[in-house]
Amino acid sequence: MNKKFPYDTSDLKPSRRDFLRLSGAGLAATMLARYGMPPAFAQMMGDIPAELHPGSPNNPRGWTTTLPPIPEGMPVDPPVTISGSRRGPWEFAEGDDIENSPFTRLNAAVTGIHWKLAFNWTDNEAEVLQKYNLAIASNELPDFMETVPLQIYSELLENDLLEDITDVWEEAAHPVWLKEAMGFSDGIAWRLAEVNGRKMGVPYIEQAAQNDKVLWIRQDWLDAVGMSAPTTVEELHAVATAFVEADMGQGGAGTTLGIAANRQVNTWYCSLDPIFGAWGVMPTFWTPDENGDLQYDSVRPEIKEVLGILRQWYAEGLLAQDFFTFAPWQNSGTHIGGNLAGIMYSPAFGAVYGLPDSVANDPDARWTFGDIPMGPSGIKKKAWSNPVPDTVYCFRKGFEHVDLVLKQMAWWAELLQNPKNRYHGFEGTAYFWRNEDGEVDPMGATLDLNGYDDTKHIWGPPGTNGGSRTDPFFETNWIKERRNVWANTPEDERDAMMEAFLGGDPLSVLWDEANVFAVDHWEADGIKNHFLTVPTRTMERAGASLDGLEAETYINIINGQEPLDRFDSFVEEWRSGGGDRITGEVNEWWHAQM
Amino acid sequence: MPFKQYMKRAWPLYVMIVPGIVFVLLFRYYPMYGVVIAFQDFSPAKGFANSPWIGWENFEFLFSLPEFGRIFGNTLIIAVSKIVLDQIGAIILAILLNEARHILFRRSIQTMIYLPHFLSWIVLGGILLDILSVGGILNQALKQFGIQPQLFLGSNDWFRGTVIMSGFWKSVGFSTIVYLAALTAINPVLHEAAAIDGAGRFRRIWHITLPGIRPTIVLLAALSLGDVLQAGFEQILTLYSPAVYRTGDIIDTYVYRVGLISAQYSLAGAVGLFKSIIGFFLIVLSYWLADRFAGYRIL
Repeated sequence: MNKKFPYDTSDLKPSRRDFLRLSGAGLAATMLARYGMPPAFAQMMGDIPAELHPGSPNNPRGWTTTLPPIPEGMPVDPPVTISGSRRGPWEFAEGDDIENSPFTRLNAAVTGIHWKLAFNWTDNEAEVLQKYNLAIASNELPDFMETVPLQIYSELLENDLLEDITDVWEEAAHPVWLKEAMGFSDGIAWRLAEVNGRKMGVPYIEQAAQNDKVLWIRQDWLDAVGMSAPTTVEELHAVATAFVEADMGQGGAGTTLGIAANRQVNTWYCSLDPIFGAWGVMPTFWTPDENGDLQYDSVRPEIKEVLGILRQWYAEGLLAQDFFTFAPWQNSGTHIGGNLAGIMYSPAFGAVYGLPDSVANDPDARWTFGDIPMGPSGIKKKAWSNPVPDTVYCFRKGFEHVDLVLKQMAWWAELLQNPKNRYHGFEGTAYFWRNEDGEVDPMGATLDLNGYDDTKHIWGPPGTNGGSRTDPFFETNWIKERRNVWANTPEDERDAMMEAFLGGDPLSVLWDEANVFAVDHWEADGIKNHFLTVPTRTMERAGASLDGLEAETYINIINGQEPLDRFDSFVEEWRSGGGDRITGEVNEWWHAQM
Repeated sequence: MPFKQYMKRAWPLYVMIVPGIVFVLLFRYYPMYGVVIAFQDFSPAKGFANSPWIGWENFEFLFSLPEFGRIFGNTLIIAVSKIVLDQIGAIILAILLNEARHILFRRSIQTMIYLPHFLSWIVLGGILLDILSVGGILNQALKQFGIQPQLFLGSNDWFRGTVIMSGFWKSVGFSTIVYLAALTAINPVLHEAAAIDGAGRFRRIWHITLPGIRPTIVLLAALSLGDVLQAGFEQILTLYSPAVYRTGDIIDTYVYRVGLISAQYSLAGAVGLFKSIIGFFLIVLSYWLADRFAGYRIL
């Protein structure tokens, strides 16, 4: 996300931005003589020069950011320079760049590490592969490699180009902010970064329950048809039918939909995965069977039952006639924003994706969220969203400062992820004062309400562009701090940071609530995909063909182009077309993990 | 003229073509050795030199795909229809524009029809999806005439037609440019003479305009045969869905899905080589035909 500098702050005098940007003893002395030493700084800055400090204690409405203790043996003397690759783009205050910003300056003061940019990319699809391949081919790998894509990672492993960090991790990794934070869900974070029991990199971790669905439903429509939120799939069907029959939608007559769906049954937005989950199966996932082997859920007999139900819903007009031509992102504009559907299974962020359009187009729209309805035998499951994407932070083989980088990661993780530290970035980079005594502007619309997500400016988690963390519950912890601590602070005791984050529009509040709800149900209701490694040989060869067959069959069964019994012949075709071989290969890998 | 004397006069011309030749050698011929990856199990870390040779395995894999017949057929049908429609449409449009008297009218029409050429398929895909959906403008309009909503992007009966027509709409304006240029080269004296002899508009188009641009038609038709396996990857990728794999999946989109599972440089290389070889033979063939029937030769 690009940062913009939308506000002209030139009329603010004396300028705090100038103050912060200045460095060097002489200039600092001049500034101190002119403006005086802020008392708060004097107490807490320790060895860190005041001008490098985040937070805003010098402003009448400002706040204090607490820096975590400086790691043992740091800052290293003499300083070390480490090269690293990075994903951009970034935007900085004038005169700063990726190697020299408030982040790198504070980092150098705390750790003694100076970062050198080896190469960067902005396009995370093709360009990143190109840049890494070039670095491999020219034998110029950086010391620290940011978000190495899976293909490159296996390439690097195969050619023995990565440093084994197992021992240094044991010794140098912070017990709380790295070891404990990354130990969630039986160590699933390490499925990729660990090879044959050896740690070959640091996992990339996103938020917990990021794509876990909740049931989003129009409360005003429920009221209009006199029903309450559904708790079973059967009730869901009844409510959806009532919405369609009452023609609640905003489109022309007869265009109301029961539930928003798209071409993928198990996807990130307007998904149908909780309906499959209500029968205990999850298309495209590999799950353990009763013998402890992995099975491919897409071909399990329960799927046929769910397909039969969806087929019936389609025939009844609950799904859009052309739902299968839509990609997930297109649902938000047409079906949700256009107020054609009043029910969807979407993640917590659905509150601010699709719903704002819906409310703009229909000011009476009142959305609410609830738990996913359960199936006839009481099963209530959904796709567990894995916070560990297919990417790893790696170190060049022979790099001798892995311990320093790990210590840096932990220090920033603690600063950013512990809400008690009250980190809100640097003035001029992360926020502006809108006026002398008052409100803080977290960079407006270019940055989400969570202004602390300006962390992409420092190397390694949690500083990576894309939202890497060391603790998947970080976001939720912040929300809980806001809701439970800040909101209970009397209004006249609140500072600008609290006010910037508290309140907000109703949809953002709904987002926060849904986030906490989804995280609380994350482990209990999630069906996990247990196959988390590079594709097997047969997957590489036959995977596209089998995936295509699966997608085509599912859709054609739902939209009635093929009979329901087509599912049985599909399973046969899948198995003989390579599926049996893939199952064998997957289980070979699976049992080797034990 | 003796060679020495000839060179004395002509050497600046030879010097002038040197940069062009260097460019072609460096950027067109030199990278061709990369085609070896089609016969390797290529991995960037090992490079061209050390990746293991696997002979025809990539081609065997491609041709033995259960879907190969389907994707090859779809590619051919969509690409050939596009070429034919685009050429015929461009000729007709160019002639119509050429006959239009009002210069401002002609210019504005010309600008309007080649504007879509500059929009990317990603943008157009989103727009088309909206227009062609069941609740979209087109189906709303059809409803006024009592026609049931049609799944233009979701049914196997419609999908190819939608792809071909939307491709035509996007590219035809740009294709008329060359024909319009060729039309200006026809000597107006011929038209005047024919008009004096009493030839009407259609007669003049038939006997003067069309024969006048015949070499251009033959040349462009011959060149476009090289595209016979280019059905429009970006376009189909943005418009298709699993429901229309049967009629809309082409070689490129299929290979793209293979690549989504794991990057397979060698397979992509093999597909590229396969398409180039077919294109090469068709160009040679059509060049021979052009020479034979239109007397067209490069040298």
